[in-house]
Amino acid sequence: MPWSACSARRGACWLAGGADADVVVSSRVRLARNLCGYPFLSRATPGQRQEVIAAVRARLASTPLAQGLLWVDVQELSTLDRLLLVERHLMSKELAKGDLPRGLAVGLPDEQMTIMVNEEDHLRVQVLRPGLALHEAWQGASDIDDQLEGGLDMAFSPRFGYLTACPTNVGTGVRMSVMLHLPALRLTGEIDKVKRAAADMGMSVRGFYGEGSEATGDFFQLSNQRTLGRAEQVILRELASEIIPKVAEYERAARQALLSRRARFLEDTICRALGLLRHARLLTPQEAMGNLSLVRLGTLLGVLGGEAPGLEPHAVTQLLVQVQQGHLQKLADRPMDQQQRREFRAELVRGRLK
Amino acid sequence: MKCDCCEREATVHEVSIQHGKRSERHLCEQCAQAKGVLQIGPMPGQAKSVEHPAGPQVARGGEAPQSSVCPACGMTFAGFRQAERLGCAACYVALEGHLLPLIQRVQEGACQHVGKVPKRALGESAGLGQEGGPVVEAGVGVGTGAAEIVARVRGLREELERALSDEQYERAASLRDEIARLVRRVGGGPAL
Ligand SMILES: [Zn+2]
Ligand SMILES: [Zn+2]
Repeated sequence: MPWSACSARRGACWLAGGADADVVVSSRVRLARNLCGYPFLSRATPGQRQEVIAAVRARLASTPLAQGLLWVDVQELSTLDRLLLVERHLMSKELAKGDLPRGLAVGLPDEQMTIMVNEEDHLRVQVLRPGLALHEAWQGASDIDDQLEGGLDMAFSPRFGYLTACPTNVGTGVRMSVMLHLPALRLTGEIDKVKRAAADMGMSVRGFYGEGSEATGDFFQLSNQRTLGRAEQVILRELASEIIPKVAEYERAARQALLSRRARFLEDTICRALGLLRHARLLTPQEAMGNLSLVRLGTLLGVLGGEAPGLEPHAVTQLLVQVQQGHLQKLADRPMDQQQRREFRAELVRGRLK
Repeated sequence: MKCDCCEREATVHEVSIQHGKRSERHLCEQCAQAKGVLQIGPMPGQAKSVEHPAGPQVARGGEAPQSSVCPACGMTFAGFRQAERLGCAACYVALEGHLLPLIQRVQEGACQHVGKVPKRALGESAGLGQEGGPVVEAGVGVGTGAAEIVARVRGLREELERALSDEQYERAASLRDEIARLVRRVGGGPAL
């Protein structure tokens, strides 16, 4: 397992800047595919799962993708290693659970591309990019798809498109999403309006850690819901050229409104968050995320910064992943219970934001 | 005029006015029924013209799915509802009657793929490969020649429509089996 304390210290590449990073933290495109000739996973025997893995690995090995791809047998991983990969958005919670044959191919060293094998579908191809880079992410994912398809027959019907285990993914099998940081819209009380508007446009809104996770620390994942009857390019154009710029402008306007009309309130809110993070002795993940969100806003607006290297937006953003329990235990290089993690989390954040 | 969400001829035309905005829908009977357009009476402020009243095809919608079992993997619609996952690619054909309304509900009414197509499914016709065991190596895949299978399935599906509207249920059943068998070769799992 190459993900050691070292990579936990390095943070995640997809959190490293990019276009429109003040609002758009990262972009992700995921494709769902199934191979012909094998039942979907709910009906596949362990032997068939192994065959799917073997077929995919054989195909990968014969493409240029093999260079720099690391294969991981997920069922062999410890709970902690699985946790770390989920926190780094390299695999889903679904892939992490269970002990039937399943695998993950990760593009190293930047970890921007992953292929999950035997998740909900035989294949889940994912490309992650920092900032607003949906076009690049789509291009990347589609290229990988082409390479896989060059030697593997995908389950496809002219009517329903790429056939997936769940009809919510059928058609293009594509999920395009961005992670948005919208603290000002929450402070001005407009966030629910934005979430409703996004839902009305057929987008789904989830938290930092996807399905079921609360939108912690004002971070929201916005993604297309519908996968059938709309071409990838249409979904892409709508998200990248219409919806995301609109939401980003809305957030920026809210930030400017706070700065010009409620400067003292804004400064107070941000400085209190920094004060809490700099002095707390025990931190829950929610507290850490919530206050880091405000500190990030402070560094972006110039309310904070210049005083410590830890107060660069980039450094603050990396902490969002590093305060998660798997990363903490990797950094500490020992298993910790909840109380110990709260203590260690506070210590880590204190040290960074000095 | 074509149906808004599939290739069939639109026979149900609906005009609705909501919040002062006028919108039109043109649907085939199957899609109209799946969306509940044929069942619900006109809402206040909503005009509706139904050129072809519900015929035998409408009655069939409720009847056909009851007996549906996927011949490739044994999945039933009840089983799908429980697991929330389909068993194999052939389920999409075998359980289509049940799945279509559900797909349209989660996909905002869409029932026809638009977008990327795997090149191999359209590509060279290198024979259909052998029946049985899963083969995924390049060149001998069960999916080579998929385009022909796909065209054949399309034809069979039209025949199935006709058989159903003529109430030739035995013929319909064997057509459905044949479609499922072909789909299994393009994308289904080995039969249990
Ligand atoms: Zn239709
Ligand atoms: Zn099936």
